[in-house]
This record gives sequence, C-alpha cells and structure tokens, in this order.
Amino acid sequence: MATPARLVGVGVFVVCGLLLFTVGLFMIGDRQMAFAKKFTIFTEFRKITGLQPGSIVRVSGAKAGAIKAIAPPNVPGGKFRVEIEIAEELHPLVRMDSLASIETEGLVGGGYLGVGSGTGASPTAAAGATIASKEPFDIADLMQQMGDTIVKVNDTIQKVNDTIDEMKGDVQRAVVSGADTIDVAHKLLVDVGGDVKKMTADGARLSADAAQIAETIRKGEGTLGKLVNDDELYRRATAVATQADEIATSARQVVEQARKTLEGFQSKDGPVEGMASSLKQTMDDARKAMSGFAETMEALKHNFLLRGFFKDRGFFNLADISPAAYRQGVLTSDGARHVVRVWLQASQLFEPAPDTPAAERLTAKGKAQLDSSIGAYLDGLATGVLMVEGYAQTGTRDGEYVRSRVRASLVRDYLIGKFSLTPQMTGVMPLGRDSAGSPGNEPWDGVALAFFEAKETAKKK
Amino acid sequence: MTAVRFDNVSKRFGALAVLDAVSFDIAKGTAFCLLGRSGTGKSVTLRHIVGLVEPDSGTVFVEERDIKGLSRRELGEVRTHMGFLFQNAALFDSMSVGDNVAFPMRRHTKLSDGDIRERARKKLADVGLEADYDKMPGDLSGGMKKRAGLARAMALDPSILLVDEPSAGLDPITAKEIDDLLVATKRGGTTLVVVTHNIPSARVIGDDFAVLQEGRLLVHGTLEALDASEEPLVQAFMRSQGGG
Amino acid sequence: MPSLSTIDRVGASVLALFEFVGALSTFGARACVEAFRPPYEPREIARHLYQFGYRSAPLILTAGMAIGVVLSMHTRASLERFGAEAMIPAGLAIALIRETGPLTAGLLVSGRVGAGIGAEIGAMKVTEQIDALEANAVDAFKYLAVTRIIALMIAMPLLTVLMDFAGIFGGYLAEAAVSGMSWSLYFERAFTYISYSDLIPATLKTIVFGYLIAVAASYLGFSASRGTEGVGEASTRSVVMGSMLIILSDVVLVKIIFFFYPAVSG
Repeated sequence: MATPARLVGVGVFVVCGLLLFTVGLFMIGDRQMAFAKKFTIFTEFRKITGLQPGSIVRVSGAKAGAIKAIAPPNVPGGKFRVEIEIAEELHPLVRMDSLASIETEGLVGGGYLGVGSGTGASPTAAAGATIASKEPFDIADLMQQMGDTIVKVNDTIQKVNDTIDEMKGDVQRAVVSGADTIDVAHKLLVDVGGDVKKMTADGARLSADAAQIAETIRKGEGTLGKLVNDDELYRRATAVATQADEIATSARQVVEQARKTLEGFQSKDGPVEGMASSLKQTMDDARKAMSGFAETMEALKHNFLLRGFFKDRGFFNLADISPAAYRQGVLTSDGARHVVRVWLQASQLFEPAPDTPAAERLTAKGKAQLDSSIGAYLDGLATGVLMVEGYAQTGTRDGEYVRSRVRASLVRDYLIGKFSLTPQMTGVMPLGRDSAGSPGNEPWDGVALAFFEAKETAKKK
Repeated sequence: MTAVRFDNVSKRFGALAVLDAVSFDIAKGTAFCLLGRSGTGKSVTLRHIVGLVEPDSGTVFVEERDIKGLSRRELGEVRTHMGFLFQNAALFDSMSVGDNVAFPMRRHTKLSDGDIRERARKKLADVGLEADYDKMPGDLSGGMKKRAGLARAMALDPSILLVDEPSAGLDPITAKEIDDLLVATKRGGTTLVVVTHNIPSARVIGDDFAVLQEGRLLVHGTLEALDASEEPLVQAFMRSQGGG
Repeated sequence: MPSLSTIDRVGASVLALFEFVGALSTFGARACVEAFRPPYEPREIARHLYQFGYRSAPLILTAGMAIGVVLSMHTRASLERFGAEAMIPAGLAIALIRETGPLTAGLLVSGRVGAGIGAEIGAMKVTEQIDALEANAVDAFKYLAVTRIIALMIAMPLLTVLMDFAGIFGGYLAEAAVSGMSWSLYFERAFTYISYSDLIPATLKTIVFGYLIAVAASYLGFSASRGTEGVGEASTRSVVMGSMLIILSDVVLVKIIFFFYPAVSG
C-alpha cells in the first residue's frame, strides 16, 4: 500500500518533472515572445530559405517574436506569404517602409527573420499590414548578380571612357575654333587638362580592374568555400553598379557642361570667366565621382571573395613571403607572371660605410647601375612586382642572411625613393648564399632585381 | 443443498488428461478431502472451483451456479464467498502480513480502514500471528506463512474454504495446529475442500473423501468406505501415516 | 539442400514469433481497453509511480549529467573547428531534447524498471500470487499490468524532462570548466533554437516508450514459468524486448513527428 512517505516521493517527482517541463515551455515561449502582447504583420518572399513557423523574428536585431505561419504560393514563381508576430513594445520601430529579410545567426546558425527599423517619416505598420522584403541571399544568385554587375560596370566604364574621349575632343576643338579667346582657352586647358588626363587614366585603370574581376568570377576563383553567408559582396557589387551609373551621369553632365561652355567661347560674347569657373566646378564634381568609384573598386579588391584574385595581382603582403616559399616560386606558380632577373655584383654596388666599416652603403656607380637596370622594366612595374633578392657569400650562415637582407633593403629603399615605386609592390628577399640561376651558376655575392611581370603586359610589349 | 458440484468435468493440458469426466458433490458445511498422489489433478480440481481454470467439458457448480456461465463481475462475487489457501500460501510479497489479511476486506467491503485493521488483527490472532501484523512475508517461516495465508483466506468469512496441502512441508506440531484451525472453521459452518495426501490429517478434518488417480475418481465416500476399499492405491493411502 | 527438419524448425520459429507478436499485441490492446474500466486502482498506480519515477530519478539525473558532460565535450570539439563555440549550448540542448534525452531515458528505464516489472510479476506468477489475486476476486491483469503500464506512461515523460535538464546542467558544468560561462547565459543560449515542436513531441513520444516497456515486461512476467529460473528469464527478456521495442518504435515515432511537425526535420 502507498504510505504517506511514498506519496510525498511521488508528489516530489511529479511536481519536479512538470515544473521542469513548464520551465522548458516558458524558455521557448520567451524566445518566441509567446507571452508578450503582440501584433501581426505580413511579408512575402519568393524563397524562404531556412525559415519555418516558429522561427524567431528580430526587429533591428532585438528579439521581437516569431513566425506564426507560412502560406505557400499557389502559382509557380509566386511568393510565400509569411505571417509574423511582433511584440507590441517594438511596434514603433516597425514602419511601412521597414524591410524584412532572412538572416542567419553566425556562421552555422539557424535562420531568422530580420525586420529593419523603418524611417520616422513612414507611418507605423498597422496590424495586418504587409511590409516589403529583401529576397534571401544565395550564392548562386550572388554569382549571377556579380556577373551582371561586372557587365554593367564594364559598360559604364566604357561609356565613361567614351565620354571622356568625346570631351577631350570637344575641348581640343574648342581650342582650335576659339582662336580669339586663346588666352582664356589656354587657361581653361591648363585648369581642366590635368583633370581630364587623370580621369582618363583612372577610367583605364578601373576598366582593367573590372575586366579582371569579371575574369576571376568567370574562372570561379576566389575562396568561395569560405563564403557561407556574407552578402557584403553583394552590397558592394550593387554599390559599384550604382556608382558606375552615377559616374556615367556625372560624366554626361560634364560633357554637356563642357559643350555649353565651349559654345560660350565660340559665341565670343559669353561671360567667359564665369564659364570657365563653371567648367572647373563640373570637372571637380566628375573627379569626385570618379574617386568615389575608385574607392568602391578598392573596397571590392579587399573583399575576401576576390582576395585570391587580387593577391595574384600583387595585393599580397610581400613581407609575408618566406624565402622557402619564394624559392618554390610562389609568385609565379599561378602562371600569371614571368620573372626576369638582373644580377648585380656587390663589388659594383656597395662600399664600406666611412664611419662604420662593417656596414655597407651604395656607391654612386652602383646607383647609376641600378638606374639603368630598372629603366627597361619601369612600365611593367605598374602591374608587376619587383623583388630585390639579396645574396652574400662570406661569413657565418646567419651573417650571410643578415647581410643579404641589408643589401636588398638598401637597394629597395633607393629604388623606391628614386622611382616612386609602390612600396607594397616592391619587396626584399634575403636568400643568403643560395644563388641558384645566377650567371654561370656561380655563387653570387650581391643582389638580383627580380621583375615579376604580368604575362599579358609582357605580351603587349 | 450442495456447495460445490462437479458434473462430468474434463480438463486436458495439451496431451495430458488431468481430469477425465469427474463428478462429485460436496454438501454445505461438510469437509471434503481430495486425496491422491502428486500430479493427479487435485490442485486443478480446486482451481476449477474458484474459476481459475475452466473445464474443457462438463460443468462446475458453486452454490448451484455454473461457474463458466458467469460474467467477470458475477464470478468476482462468487469468489468473495470463497477463501483459498494456496500450497505455498501465496502471500503478496509487496505487502506486510497485516495488509495481506486486510487486502480482501479492503477490496470487497466498505469498512473503514480502522475497522479493517482491527479485523485483520483479529484474524491474525486466530492463527496465532497477532504479533506479526507489520512483518513482511519474506520474514516469516513456512508455517507462519501458511497460517497467515489461512488468515487471509478467512478474511471475508467465506462460506467455502479451499485448502491446498495444508500441512505440506510443516512440522507435525504446526500441521496439527492448522488442522485444528480448519476443524474449528468447519464447525463455524464453512464448507471445506481440502487437497491433501496426509491421511492422519484428513482423518481429523474430513467428512467425505475421494481419491483421484490419473484424472479419475477412484473412490468417493466416507472414511469407512475408503477403509473398506480394495483398490491397492486406496489401501496404500489409508495405511500411510505421515504427510508429504 | 536443407533437410526437412531444418525447414520444420525455421517454420516453427517463424510461427512462434508470430504467436508471440500476436499475444503481445493482444496483451497491449487489452491493457488499453482495461485502463478505461473501473476500478482504476489509483493507490497501486501511485505506488508504482513512486517505484518507477521517484526511485529512478537518481539514476536518470546522474546519467543525464554525465551524458551532458560528454555531449558538451563532443559538441565543443566539432563546433570549435567552425569557431562556433557560442553554439555549444544550443547544439547540446537540441541533441538532448530531440533524441538523446528521450532515447537514453527510455533505455535506462527499460533496464531498471522493465527488468523490475518482469521479475516482480514473474515471481508473483510462479508463487501463485497472481492466482491468489484472482481467487480474491481481483482482476490480476488490471491490478498488476494496467497499473504498471499507466504508472510508467506517466513516469517516462517526466523522467525524460529530468534527463534533458540534467543533461543541460551537465553540459553547463563542462562548459563552465572550460570557458567559465554563467549559468543564466548558458541556459538562455541552450534554448536559442528549441521550439515547441522540438520539446513537446520528443517528450510525449516517451509515453509510448513507457507503454511499450511496461507492456512487454508485464506480458513476459505473466508468461513466466518454471520457478525462479523463469523469473530471471522474464526479467532479462523484459530488458531486451523493452530496449528493442523502444529503438524500433523510435524510428517510427520520429517519422511520425516529422510528418506532423515538418518544421522539425528542416
């Protein structure tokens, strides 16, 4: 028979079990905000990747509620209608212009629905309202988008180039035809010419970059595996497209303005000074737009998706390359570059420093030799890499290493100072006594300038 | 008026015919001793009476009612009129001795718990176990178990008491005490059906006797009829002294 | 070519298997029907609930905590590679609540309670206590089997919840030892990805586990024979049968849960 002590045991057991179960229910309820006062709104998605009824909803990142139901579309390509419950206390943040998007928590987290905080100008979303949505990010979509964007960027850059060419022609024509206002025109050309030249150069560089991005994406390079969920690139790419559009618009305006100004020159009676300053203004605007575009391009370069690609172009940190990796040909292994070496002997380049005889310094003769050696490769260095290899054959092993490093550094510093080489693209490589490939395969004491040129650049020559 | 009547009852377990067209009557208030060697169907006969086993053919009447035709509830009601002392007492291990005795009362009477305890104590006192109310069955000796089992069988003051081997495995003194208890019970008006192979014990308790062999009733009658029987088995039985 | 006797033997064992399944099913079905007929034996149910629930709690809590610690270490090892240590509590809780908790609790209960039921009823059978019950006009099936089945159906989900929480607590201990995370943060994170459809069906399915363990053990107890040897066999077979039924039924139950809560499978 059940004694009172036993009944107490049963009671403790049942109550504890039920209590814990209830705690569990409340934890879940709390997570889904099941016990808060709520209102319901709707949004629609073409794809509901990772969402399910019960998935949590965040408004501006704050835990706000849960998805109540998802109604599938009744036609192919239709949208899923998602019913969202949001805690009443966050209602003021949810405006008619709030954007719903499918997000994931962390790298491997579950999906949740993010609702962006709207703007104050927009009315609060009433219960039952439907807010706009941003379709979930998808790697395949991203590639598609990227491809589209690149095409667009290329087109735009082409347009910009054309416009600039056109503009240059116009300016020149204006100079020719408006001979009577030659002073003014000259002044204008001096003012504007620099800008035009810079914009032309920028345009060329950007279009080259864009073409190479497109190529990379076509080849499927880049560390795609790491890209689990980061739509940063998507945003950037979109921004690139937008900016490219802006540049095109600006450029068109520039041309328009330039034309008008030049027509003003030709009509002889225009307020020439005013025109000139207005043209200057326009040029400034265009330049700003161009630099914004260049920044975007720069940002894109640093996006990890394309990092591999830019690395190939020399956007790696040369200081990080170890001698071992260097010897194995890390800079040429992808086949995009070829290397030309100019071997220079220490006896020609260096002399003992007067105050500290153990140290070396460059001789005047050595500098001249460096100047003449680099001359032929300066053009190629715009896109290539210069590696100054140091060699030393006397002393202990570590002494050789240090000496070879000092020699290479001396040469590098000199070259950067003299020829304004990009420091990031100019490296030193202390190779000690191991001078494989030297003339006659002799042990080399000195330096070698290793020019890593992009093969395409090399071909064009 | 018969308490129990077997009419042509047959029972087989597989190929083995345990009862073969057995018929007998037991008059109310008498003691019926069923004798026979081990494994001759004596226990099965008892189980037929309480409805634990159903006959393959023939009919078992208890208080003039066909056991087989009863619903579960009616059978339950008939069973409350019967007490059953199992060979090994079959006390419920999970309950104390007192609760064992109180069990039938708790199940079938509307008495208060206090009354039930009091009655259970009295029943235990009747079998000399008044001090053992709170002991668990595992702590009792064989004889005490049997007496406690008897107390439980008597708990509802049954009109029919079925006893399976009352003195098997007990020392003679204890066996004697059990016999005396059974005789006293009979005097109180209860019909006894006792399965035994202890003839001295049967002589004390019994009014009517039957010897079962290979599923058939060899003899059925009074002590004198059995003594006069010329069946070798019956003679062997009647001459035997000890139990077991 | 197999001899005729081999075919006979195979045939006989197939028949025996079907007979067993049939008898067990009948037994289980009868329990369902009888459960709704008076008398309901609440005292017996309470007594068994004490035995199966309260008395099993220490085992379940200890095992749950140990499993929590082990799971936590495993989850840490795998999630660390992705730099997702913050997911350890959630990963552990999902594993525990969805499957590990219910199944392990089921197997432990099958071992402890299933064996107990098989042995207890088996012993009552061979010592004629079941007959004594019947002779006392008590429906032994109801009194012994149905009450145990109901008690275990009540105890099982409660034990599962205990196991879940003990596991989460064990996981917390392991986590706190490594990262010193606070209990409240751990607990909060543990429930990050748990939804009602994880907790409720997984917990309630153990009612079926309880039913299967108790039915199998009671049936084997009732069919015990041949003295103490039969009791031991009933006990052993109860554990084997109970564990097997749990694992097999789990396959079906998980599928059913996925059917009714498609969200869980996603």
